[in-house]
Amino acid sequence: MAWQITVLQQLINGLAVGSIYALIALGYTMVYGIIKLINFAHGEIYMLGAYFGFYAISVLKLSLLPAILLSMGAAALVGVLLERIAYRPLRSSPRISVLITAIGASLLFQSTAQLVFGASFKPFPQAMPFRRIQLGKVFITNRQLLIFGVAVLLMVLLHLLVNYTKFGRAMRAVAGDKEAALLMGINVDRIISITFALGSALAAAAGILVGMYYNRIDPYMGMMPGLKAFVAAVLGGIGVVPGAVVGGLLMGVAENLVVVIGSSTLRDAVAFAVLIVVLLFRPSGLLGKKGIEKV
Amino acid sequence: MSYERIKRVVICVMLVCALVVPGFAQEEPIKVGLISSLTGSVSTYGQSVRNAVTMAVDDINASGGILGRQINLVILDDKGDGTEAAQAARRLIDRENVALILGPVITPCVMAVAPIAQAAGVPMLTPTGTGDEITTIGDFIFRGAYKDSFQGRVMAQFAFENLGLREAAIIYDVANDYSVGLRTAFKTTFEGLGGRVIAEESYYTGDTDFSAQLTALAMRNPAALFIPDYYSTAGPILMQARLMGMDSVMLGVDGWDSPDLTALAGGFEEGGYIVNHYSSEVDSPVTQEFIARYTATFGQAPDALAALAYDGTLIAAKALEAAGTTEPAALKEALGIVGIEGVTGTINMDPEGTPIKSAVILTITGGKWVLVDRIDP
Repeated sequence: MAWQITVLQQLINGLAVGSIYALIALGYTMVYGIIKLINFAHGEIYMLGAYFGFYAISVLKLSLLPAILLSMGAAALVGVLLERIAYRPLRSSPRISVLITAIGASLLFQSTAQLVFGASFKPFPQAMPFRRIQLGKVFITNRQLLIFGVAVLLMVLLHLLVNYTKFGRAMRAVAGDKEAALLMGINVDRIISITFALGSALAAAAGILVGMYYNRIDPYMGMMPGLKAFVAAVLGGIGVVPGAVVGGLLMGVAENLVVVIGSSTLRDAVAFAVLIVVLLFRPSGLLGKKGIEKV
Repeated sequence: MSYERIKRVVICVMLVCALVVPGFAQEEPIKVGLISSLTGSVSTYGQSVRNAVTMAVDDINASGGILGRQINLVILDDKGDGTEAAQAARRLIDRENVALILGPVITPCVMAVAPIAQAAGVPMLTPTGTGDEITTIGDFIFRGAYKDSFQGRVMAQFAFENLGLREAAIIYDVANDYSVGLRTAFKTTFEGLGGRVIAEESYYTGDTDFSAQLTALAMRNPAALFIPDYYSTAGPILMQARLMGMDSVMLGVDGWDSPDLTALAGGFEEGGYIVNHYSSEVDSPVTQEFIARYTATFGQAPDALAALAYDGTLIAAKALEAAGTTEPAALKEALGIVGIEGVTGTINMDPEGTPIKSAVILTITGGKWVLVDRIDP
């Protein structure tokens, strides 16, 4: 009986971490879907989101929800500027140039953050009391509930936006065929900007949630989750919005279940092994479209 | 003596002084390098070490320096990173030509610097590095702190004998020599005494999510949890463990000692026990005088890192004085035999590189470290 409870408890932990990966993965996948760029600076937007939240709560004395909104707004702005300054001028360049620019932007954000925010690990202002809700033999903390709540809400909003609005239709059109969309009178540049804004806002929300959950933020916090979220996006099928959610949750759960079965030392290794296995059998990801993709 | 003769002697003395004193003043200062983790994941350690070393060097210079020469301190930041520490060491040795290196602060950085100092034949003394292997690198490598094997043993004995604990779990950083060494020392002693380590989980340096490991540990319901890591990681682990409802006795090490622990642990460090190098409650005049002056200068009570760094600087100064020269071979010999009455107790250096020192057990009550026990080697 004991091990079933452990599995159930690890499932809850896995879904919490997985929701974070999913929120970050959505940004990767939307940007990839629309301009075929893997935005390696995306993990740093998540890091910036956590810091914006940190200052919104500790300096501006905002409560949690306004802080999340402010941080999402600020990160969206950074995302838009990043695209405008670093990626747009290179849009017709070979894809490898843009990819390298993205890696450069990532390093630039890390170093700047270290300079501006300091390299020390910061405790996150805990703008919420600590609670644990017992559900039979397993429990869920109010921080995990917050993660589920915010993640589900944002995902539903994104789903509605992409599928049921004029902007969503325009976005899908640009993803399908940029030139044709342009000919139909769609402002492609604006659609791309808004896509970056949306992805960055989601990552910023994830950053604050993680700060609340783990109580530690630092300028390098975006590296590993950024990488894992990227893997999650590929796992689910890069460019496919529901794929990012499935991939993220799967990564989170897999990581946590490894600890039940075997050793915690293998946690990261297994997460990436899952990716390799899935890609061997479904090269375009779990929910990906068929067809050969050149990278 | 007649008045005239006295006058003549006085004039002569004054003339000699006039010749000699400027000679002393023009004597080149002794360059000493300090590699400290001023920023990064263990920045409070680095700042404490820098503060205390600067204070000790200022004291020495104010009282006329060593061998009639002032000490010129060159401080470099290693950000708590081994690669940066190695670069800093190269710069101190190749460009600054320092006579001696103080630091680095944490074991992974010390392990990166020690082979460089040894190869270059520059004596090095880490006031705070506890990893067992540090002093095995060579005869130019010294430390001012006890070893991890001692520290881990002390905690295991205390848990078994004083707290009466028979079962413990461990969570440690598999990528850090310090954490791994402490885990091994604790486990060996605890099991040797007849206790059982019922579960072990590990993570990697830089991880922030410990929920999977802690859930696995919580299911075993251990009486005690040993967390051998620095405050920046031990803090979040403590918080996440308590939020999960773990009510184990939390056992820690010197790495927990930081003014930032409380914020990072969210106040959940309360009731935990650690092994440390010194307690502010020791009523030796040297210790109390240091605490008062440090607090007045830096507006913050000194932690163990500051105390060790102050003592380390005094050991280095005493060795320079005893050697009578900055010549590396002589300085190295002196470092292996000097002894001081320091803030952390009586320290007698050993040619092997590690002094014989006692440890203290502290517990955190009402946000303050309180002395529980003192253990001699």
